[in-house]
Amino acid sequence: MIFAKVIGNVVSTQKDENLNGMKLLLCKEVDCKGKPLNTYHVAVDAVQAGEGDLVLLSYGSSARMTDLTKNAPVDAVVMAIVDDIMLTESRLVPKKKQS
Amino acid sequence: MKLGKVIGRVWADRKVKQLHSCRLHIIQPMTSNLRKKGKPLVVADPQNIAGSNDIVVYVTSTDATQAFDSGFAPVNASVVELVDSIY
Amino acid sequence: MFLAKVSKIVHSTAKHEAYSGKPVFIVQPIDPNGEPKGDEWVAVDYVGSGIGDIVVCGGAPGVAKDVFGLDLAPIRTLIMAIVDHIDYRDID
Repeated sequence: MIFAKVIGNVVSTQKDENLNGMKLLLCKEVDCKGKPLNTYHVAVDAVQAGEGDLVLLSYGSSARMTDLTKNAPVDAVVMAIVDDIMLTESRLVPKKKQS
Repeated sequence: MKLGKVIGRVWADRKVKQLHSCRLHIIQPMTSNLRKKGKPLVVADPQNIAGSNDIVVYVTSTDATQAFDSGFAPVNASVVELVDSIY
Repeated sequence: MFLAKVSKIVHSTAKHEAYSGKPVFIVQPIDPNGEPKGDEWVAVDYVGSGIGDIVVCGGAPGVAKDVFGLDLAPIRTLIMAIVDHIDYRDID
């Protein structure tokens, strides 16, 4: 899963019939600290996200594993709206004791 | 599967129903010598076994969905094992 | 599939039920000359290998389901064979 910020909607009338009723969102990928990366995704909305929300995107074959996107030609889905991220900037290798 | 260290937590109130009662962690991939390797990623923890700063084994891609009891969840990575020791 | 050397063993108590009773190793991918190549993987043993063995690892997504006869198997990397001997000639 990756973090992304919803930056807009994608509207389409002529599409595969399995995509009917799905809202498409334009999302910009961000890293764990919220810094925007230069990657954009079009994702199906499974949680009623809106513009400006920080969301979690699932991609690849896993994107078809929601009730909404079952059997649909989808490779990215918004599966959670992020409320908060806690990042412990702890040292992965313990700091050496100073003598 | 790969090794990683839990370095953060993600709170999300609204999420797809398969992920209700499932924690989301941020994990830093590690080598077996406990050195950083690569970029952090978000993983689901369907059995809620990991806590802050734990070393875990996580599985990616299609197999990540198999970590859920239903085998049906939109996740790209899941925690499957809490590591006690490596040698 | 890839060639790898079994380098370490992973001990754990809290784990997914598909992992219970199966040894879990850290494997380092190698090239045919035995030189380490790329990132380490965590792999579930299927053939009874030990530390120091050269093994064949891999598996298509979902293959562990068939191998272990489980309904749900979140296992990506299997140790599938222990290598006795590699015979090869590199092309330039």
